[in-house]
Amino acid sequence: MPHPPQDTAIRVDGVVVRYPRFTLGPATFAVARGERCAVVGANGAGKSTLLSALAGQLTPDAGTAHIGVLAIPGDLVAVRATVAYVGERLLCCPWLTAAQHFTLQAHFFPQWEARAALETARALSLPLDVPLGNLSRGNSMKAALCSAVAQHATVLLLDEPTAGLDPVARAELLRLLSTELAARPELTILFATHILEDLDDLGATALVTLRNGSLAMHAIPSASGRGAARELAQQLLFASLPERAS
Amino acid sequence: MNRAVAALFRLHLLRLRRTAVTLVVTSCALAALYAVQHPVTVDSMLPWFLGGAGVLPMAPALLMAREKADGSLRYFASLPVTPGDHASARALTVFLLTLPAGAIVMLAMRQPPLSLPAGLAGMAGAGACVAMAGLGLVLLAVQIALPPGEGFRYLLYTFVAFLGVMQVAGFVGKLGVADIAMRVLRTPTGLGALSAALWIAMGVAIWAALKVIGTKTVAYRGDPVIMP
Repeated sequence: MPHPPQDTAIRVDGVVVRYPRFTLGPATFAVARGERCAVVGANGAGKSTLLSALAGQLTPDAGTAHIGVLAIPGDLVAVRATVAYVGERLLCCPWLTAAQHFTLQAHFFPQWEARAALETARALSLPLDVPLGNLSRGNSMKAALCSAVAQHATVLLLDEPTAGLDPVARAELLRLLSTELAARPELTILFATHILEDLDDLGATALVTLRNGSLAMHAIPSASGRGAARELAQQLLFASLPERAS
Repeated sequence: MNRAVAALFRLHLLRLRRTAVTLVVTSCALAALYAVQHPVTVDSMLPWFLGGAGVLPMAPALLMAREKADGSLRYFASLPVTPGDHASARALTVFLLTLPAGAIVMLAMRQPPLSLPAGLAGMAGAGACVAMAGLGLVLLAVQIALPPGEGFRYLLYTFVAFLGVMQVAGFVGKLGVADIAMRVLRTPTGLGALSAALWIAMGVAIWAALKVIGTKTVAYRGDPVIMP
């Protein structure tokens, strides 16, 4: 299997993930280094499954994917260290505090920057001395993003990062992500969302649409300005709806 | 030991400290209750402490349902850690928890009527540690591999089957087969063969348990059902 070219951050070749009542794929697409690619689709379309597979959190039933030169499923352990994955819930020992969790993570992730985690937590007003299991949804997501920043990953996978957040928490998270993106233009982001405003706020440069496990990729012209990504997503998502009888 | 194994080992111990303290306090309380009404000698008290310490290596298996329920096991599964490292950390934890019981067995071997020399008593203690660690790891592997609640059901079935086998063995014993077996076992060759068979069985059980612990940990995808 040939390795992807150096400027490709994510390459997916015919990946299939099968569940008893749902099949994702075969999915084939590529995301260039530094790109911000949005994944949109209805509930149950396979967005979380796709992101979990790319994070090395589940093994595809067929096909391969590459994160840089690392292969899935061949290099799952190395992929997990390279990709920062922010899922629907923070994966943690819920009886540890955020400060303890950040200290612990340093033992598993070779690029871990403990200071970055603590600085980000302070910037986001995340309580460091409360057990993670007692945090609200917003604070839990903040802790996950602090972990993702400290991991110093080359690829960031976000699964509905702003879902269920109040407007203030959402603005804080988007500010954090904008700061991180400005500081690290080589960082590649693949994010799934139901909130189409996120596409503009995170500056999506490409769009992946998922419908019943089938996938299509669309480029967003760079000169089209703010709002173009959202409009394109709206057109693609609503185009498939049957017209209502008037 | 690499950093990941050391971190997981510390984490498992940290998680077990409350259970371990509860088990030690309970066995001490039971021993104290016994001591109120009976003469306190080393011989009479050792079984109480051995009972308490002997349960310690089973604590990780007892806590596994909790690890699944609160999402800790799902977190371990998400880490960039190999199955071998997961198994090593669990093995170190269980072996460490066998040390108090091993020390008590060693002490018991030094008491009359056996009064074994220190070397032999030490070997008996070490053997007890390995046997208890094997049992603790097998129970842990069963608990990781099966859905929450299922593990103890199968352990109960195993216990019932064991009782059945013992009853059959007792019946066969009446036919004189047990006498012949005992005569064979009392020879040096018979005893050596039995000992070797037990050690091989224990080694295989520990190897298989570690294999299951490693592969099932990294493959675990269950969602947490409760939060503390």
